[in-house]
Amino acid sequence: MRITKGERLFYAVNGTLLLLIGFLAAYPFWNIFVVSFNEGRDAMRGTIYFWPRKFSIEAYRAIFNESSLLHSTYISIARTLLGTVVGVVCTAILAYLLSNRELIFRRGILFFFIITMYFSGGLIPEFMLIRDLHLYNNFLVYIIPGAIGVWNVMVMRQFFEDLPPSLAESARIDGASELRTLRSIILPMSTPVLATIALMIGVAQWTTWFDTYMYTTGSQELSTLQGVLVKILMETQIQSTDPTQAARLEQSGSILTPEVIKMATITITTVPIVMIYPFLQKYFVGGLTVGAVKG
Amino acid sequence: MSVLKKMKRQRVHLLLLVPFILFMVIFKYGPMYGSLLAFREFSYRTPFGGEWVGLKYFKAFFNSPDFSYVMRNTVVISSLGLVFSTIAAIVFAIMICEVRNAMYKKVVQTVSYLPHFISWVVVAGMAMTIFSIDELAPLNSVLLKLNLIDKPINFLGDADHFWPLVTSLNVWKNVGWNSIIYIAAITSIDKQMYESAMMDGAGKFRQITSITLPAIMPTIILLFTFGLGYILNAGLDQQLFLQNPMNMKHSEVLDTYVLKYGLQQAAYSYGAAVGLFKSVVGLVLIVICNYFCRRFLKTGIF
Repeated sequence: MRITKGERLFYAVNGTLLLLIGFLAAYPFWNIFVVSFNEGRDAMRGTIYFWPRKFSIEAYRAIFNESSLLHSTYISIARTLLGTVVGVVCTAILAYLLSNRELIFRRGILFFFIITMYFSGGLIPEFMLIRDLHLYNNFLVYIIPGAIGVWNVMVMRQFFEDLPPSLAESARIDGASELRTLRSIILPMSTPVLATIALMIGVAQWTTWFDTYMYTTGSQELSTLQGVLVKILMETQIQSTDPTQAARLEQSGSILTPEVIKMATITITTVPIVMIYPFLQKYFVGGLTVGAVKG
Repeated sequence: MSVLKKMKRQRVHLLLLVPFILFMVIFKYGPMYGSLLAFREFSYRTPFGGEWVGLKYFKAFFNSPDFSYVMRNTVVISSLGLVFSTIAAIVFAIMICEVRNAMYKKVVQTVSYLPHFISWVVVAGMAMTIFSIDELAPLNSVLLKLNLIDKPINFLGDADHFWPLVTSLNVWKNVGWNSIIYIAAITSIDKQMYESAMMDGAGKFRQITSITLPAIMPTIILLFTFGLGYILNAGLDQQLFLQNPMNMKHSEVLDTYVLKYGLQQAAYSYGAAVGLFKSVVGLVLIVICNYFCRRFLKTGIF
């Protein structure tokens, strides 16, 4: 079909605006990345936009020399791996059990789980519970309380329910146990939804800061990278609202500034995600649309 | 088949469910019971609180000078976020669907998801650099250079700038991700409608206002209504990280308030009361929104 002049103009303007939006979404990351590779004192002169002015890896060297930061990186990795494995296993088993249409008291049991998505006890009682269960200052606080996300369970249950029921039926007739049926029949057909849920849990584990902030305050040992960032953030905050602070820092002499350390830490926490999500986005989007169709 | 017989036949299934039910009882229902602390004095000797005091702590919250501005901030910040995020996501979805080069479309879309995948800690960290009051900070330096302002604006410290700031950040973080559903809705519109509209001489804008928007209106209304159900969830993270004593009157929301008074100042019963108030009102709002969606849109979440 012929394109009119007006349409051509529309497409051009639209494409340009989208370019601008894409730039706004991506540029802050690029800027942080670039500044993290610049010498700290020099970076305070500002106006670094697209490329480091005085290239330096001092900030990264400082981070990896400081054993506590390196340790936090290990904690972050450990909780992400372990948390994802535990989360996916628990979610899959529960979703499978709930997907059985014959299940006795099914409506009541579903209600029991779903209601917790819309009503919670709140921050204070949760804090008390964690303390009373001795999960406070305990690595397991990263793994156990979040082991089951009801939303994820419902997404996976939906997927299982849409599989042909005759498959599980025939496995059962052949004498396979419930867990055996799940492992050998259901799971091999469910890789898309498993990938989606694993990614959701993994990203949440990697990016959460709340449990570190709330439940491991007495133990430096357990701080995650996000926890470290929260701390840096709170410490450097005053600087961004008070001009006299920046000047004082400038006189202090060190080429490393808290600002570049912050940039480098942000870069370290962000790069893994930026690297994986473009390749796995169909799984993320898959989870979103499944959830949206039947919440 | 009798219930007992059915239970017997499903015994393995039911046994496997038991640990999950226990988990929920401990980690989800436990705190619900624990929230009754709102009606009791806190005590170190009894796990769920001591003497019953009725509505004392609720009254204390409603009568405190904090109540009005904390509620105002919560509702204003989440409403602004809801309205602007929705509009931005719709506009972005329409723009994306009008791109004809598939590759370009894919790249822009992928980049737009990026902010969704990072934590608010990182967003706040970036924001503090970009919006810093320092004359050399990215935004202020550009504004100064363009002579739009003569002295740096204190975006982060000035209470009046807090709502626009946090709304912009909310929109920035969510626009790409929220647009996914709208893009799915637009893609499912029958292409023939556009063709016949073109025959009748409708231009691009006419097609958007007369075909695209009406077609995705049910999706918009549904998502917007549920957004209203979550109006008390202004978000803990963004407020907590961008908050400082100077902008407190505009940045304190229910979640940060509970954290501050309930935990950091150890007013446990008071914090539990504010938290319970938020949970109950939130549940009521969701039930109401669900009722309206069921009634008028024939769809809902439960």
